Amino acid sequence: MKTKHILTLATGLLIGFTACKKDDDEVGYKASAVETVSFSSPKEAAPGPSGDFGVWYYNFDTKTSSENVGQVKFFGLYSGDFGLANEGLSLGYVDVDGKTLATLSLEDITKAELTSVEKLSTGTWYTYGENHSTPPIANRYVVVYTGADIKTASNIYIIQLNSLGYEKKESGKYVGKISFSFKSFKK
Amino acid sequence: MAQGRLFLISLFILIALSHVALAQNMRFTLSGRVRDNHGQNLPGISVQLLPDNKYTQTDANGNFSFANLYEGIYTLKFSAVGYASIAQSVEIEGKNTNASFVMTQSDIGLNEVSVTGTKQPPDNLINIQKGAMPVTVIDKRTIELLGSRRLDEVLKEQTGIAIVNNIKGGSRSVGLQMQGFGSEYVMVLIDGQPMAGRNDGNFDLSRISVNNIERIEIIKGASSCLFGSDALGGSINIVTKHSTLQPQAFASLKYGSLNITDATLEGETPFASQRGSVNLVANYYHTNGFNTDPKYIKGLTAPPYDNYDLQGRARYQVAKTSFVGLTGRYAVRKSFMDKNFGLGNITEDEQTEKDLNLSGYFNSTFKSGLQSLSRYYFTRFQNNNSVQWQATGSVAGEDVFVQTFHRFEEQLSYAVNNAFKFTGGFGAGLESMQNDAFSVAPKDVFSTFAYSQADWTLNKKFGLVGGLRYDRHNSYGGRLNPSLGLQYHIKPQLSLKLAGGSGFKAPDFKNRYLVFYNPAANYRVIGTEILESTLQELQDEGQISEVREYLVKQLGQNLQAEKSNSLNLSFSYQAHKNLKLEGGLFYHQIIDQINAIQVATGTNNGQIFTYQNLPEVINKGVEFSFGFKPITNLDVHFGYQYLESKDQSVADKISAGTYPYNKIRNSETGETRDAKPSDYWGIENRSRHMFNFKTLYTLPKAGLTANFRINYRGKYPFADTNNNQFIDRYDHFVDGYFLFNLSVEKKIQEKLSLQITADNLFDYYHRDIPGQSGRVILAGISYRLFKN
Repeated sequence: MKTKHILTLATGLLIGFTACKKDDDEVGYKASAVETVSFSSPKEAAPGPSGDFGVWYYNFDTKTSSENVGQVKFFGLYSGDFGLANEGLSLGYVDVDGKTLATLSLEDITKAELTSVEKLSTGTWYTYGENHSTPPIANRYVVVYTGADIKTASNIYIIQLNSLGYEKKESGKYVGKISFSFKSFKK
Repeated sequence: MAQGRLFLISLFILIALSHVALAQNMRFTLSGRVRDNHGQNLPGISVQLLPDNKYTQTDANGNFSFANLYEGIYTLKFSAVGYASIAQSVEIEGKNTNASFVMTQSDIGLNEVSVTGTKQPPDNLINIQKGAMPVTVIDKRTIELLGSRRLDEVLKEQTGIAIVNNIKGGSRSVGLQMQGFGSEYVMVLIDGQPMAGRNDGNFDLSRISVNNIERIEIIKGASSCLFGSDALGGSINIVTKHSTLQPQAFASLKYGSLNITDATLEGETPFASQRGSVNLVANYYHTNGFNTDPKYIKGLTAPPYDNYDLQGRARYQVAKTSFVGLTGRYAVRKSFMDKNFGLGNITEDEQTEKDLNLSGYFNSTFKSGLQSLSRYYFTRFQNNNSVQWQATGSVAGEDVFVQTFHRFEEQLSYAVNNAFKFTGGFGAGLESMQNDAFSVAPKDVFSTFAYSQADWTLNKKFGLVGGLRYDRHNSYGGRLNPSLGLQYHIKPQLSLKLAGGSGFKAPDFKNRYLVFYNPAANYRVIGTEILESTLQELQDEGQISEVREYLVKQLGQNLQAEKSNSLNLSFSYQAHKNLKLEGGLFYHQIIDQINAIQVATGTNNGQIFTYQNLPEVINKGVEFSFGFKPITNLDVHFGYQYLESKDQSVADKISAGTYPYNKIRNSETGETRDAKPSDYWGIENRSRHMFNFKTLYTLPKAGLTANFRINYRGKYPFADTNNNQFIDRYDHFVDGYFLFNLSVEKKIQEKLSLQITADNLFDYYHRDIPGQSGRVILAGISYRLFKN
């Protein structure tokens, strides 16, 4: 009787594990065209403790932004910090000279040294310059990929910051202005 | 003249051009002062300016400044140990700018936190804190500040929880009572998996070391909807620490009164490029034991023991969004105690407990957002107990008890959208028990279960949580347990919650088949299914002096599973940023509660017990607490519980005039009169009034933390001494008592920590409270090694 019960439990365990097993076939990647997205920060920030530009979410697959769901998010000053909004994704950046986002290949990415980061902000994807300007760091490409290892990732998204800044509104408040481009490699 | 005019025009143009150039390159200074919310200047605060990414610190007067800044908007971030980080936007518009900033202290304290933001562990998708019934969370820092070593020491300081010694289980067994529910109705889980090994239904909380605990989640009230049988009156889930992604090591040592030694070594590290992590903790604990009844008992009432505890946890990312994990715990406790009964009658009582918990899980998140967790759990608890007479060396009693439990569970979690989340699962368990004392070999218990829980945010004001669980037990059939919670946010600071749930508990092996004799306490317990035959055997052997035949006939039948219904209405009100009030009413109904009852007396005056179902027991009361921060560095918390716990059948029997409930004898005068229902005080061991008072004082700059706590437990009935089978005012009560506790901690450079703990400062002990030792003073040192 006991053996029977143990067998039942073991079978259950096996079914559970099998149900959760995921397919990891090695197949080629398909590259998408470059998309460019521009947005204004969701909130107008006023000086003071409530000065908040808000969080802006984006999904590379559906190419949509929604109020509080997405793969990645823009937040912080000017809504210009960049981080992950979902578990199961990893974030890093690479520096590749002599390429554009359109000509950048997956091999360029995997050959370059990938620096893993928790988020990108001032100093990691834009710098600070004359007249309070915030130019993007040249030749830096942000990499978002599924899983923990880029070599086994099924989806890889390459993002490049085009511009980041702010505008003072008539209300006396400020609004962040961001533009970025991206393309994806999918198995 | 014309030359002069030309010069003036040139000068004007030059000045105008220089203004344009200056306007483009004009730089300003941004300065400010940082204070706390009582206006005190804060030195040493780290200040970050964005987007420049410049850093500075406040000076002795709390001032800081950044020079050479362009016009525009900036963000300043302030952070310091002991304070909540803040970020503020600042605008520089054509002039130097000065601003003031206020920081408040971090919300660390001894409060029992009822709200959460805690991280869900990877090996359990059920978010207990999102369940229908109210949940209290005790976090790791609070445990550290209490200076506690064992689980019972942490729990006894929580509102509405009393630590009790199960007399039937012997003085080794430290259990708890929660909102009137005894220890046997409170399920104890580790990472959501039930722990095995109950001595006569009582789970011994002192078995658990608190060193590796991330937090403790306490559900007060029926929670079978989440955990099935046994969670009839509530549950305590111990969430063990999960690995961080940073290699670190920790060592601590505490030593003091009663020769208490508590030594811990812990290490954790990531591996395989942080795809995996492993954590190991070893703990050794020793106590010399103590005597709460030195007047009548020579030697000890609570035994000395050595406890060895080893825990480990490993996690590895096997695929993109899939993790596999293993956790294990092995604990051994050995104790030895002499008991002197006078006239040279000394027993030597030896006990060894071995406790193994192993669990494996596989956690996977699918593209759709569906999360799946498969887990297998095995636990084995063994208790060897032997008692021998010192003079003769003859064995007075021997008991070997082994309980094993296999359990498989599949959990699923899916968020349909932000407002609606679903968690569900199914599984099966196999429980086996071996005990020499069973006169009938108990058969294995095979149970299956399925459950679901939905969390629905209807709108900004209303939230709804509903749950349903079905358990099927091979001896007691099926049982469905629903739960429902409705939350209403009247305004952001004030919310109400109405929650209801049901619970059940199937009678265990001991209730049905065990014949257990404790020679030290001189009592015997007989399972109901073998009551008549065992009593007959004992009578034939001449070991019985008196049998209550009417009870034996009434009880010699199958026990019913116990059932419960809980209702809870609670509120939470943030009256002021420094004052939070929480409270509520609770009402628990237990149907067919199983209680021990004396059915006979042995020739050696030992009591002989069996079990009975009581028709209905009601526990009802009020809980109230407030947290207050009168000055910057001081936290104050007060909690109170009023409880009434009564067995309805007793009240009915008094009303009906049933013997022996119809009489009441004044033990002081010896007079006897007719009993009235109002004479019924309530169930044994339940205090009407309990409160605790906690203060925490911190000096962040000096790294000092001091806390002082007062626990009060009101008088409670101990035993029926006038033999009318219910508690009345003439019975034996334990008087109310206070316990005063103090702990001081000094941190040196974040790594080294020194602690002095004084529990029960005024050395209170009582012969009827065998689990409460006198004053204990301990000194501790701990060191954490990590990369900055």
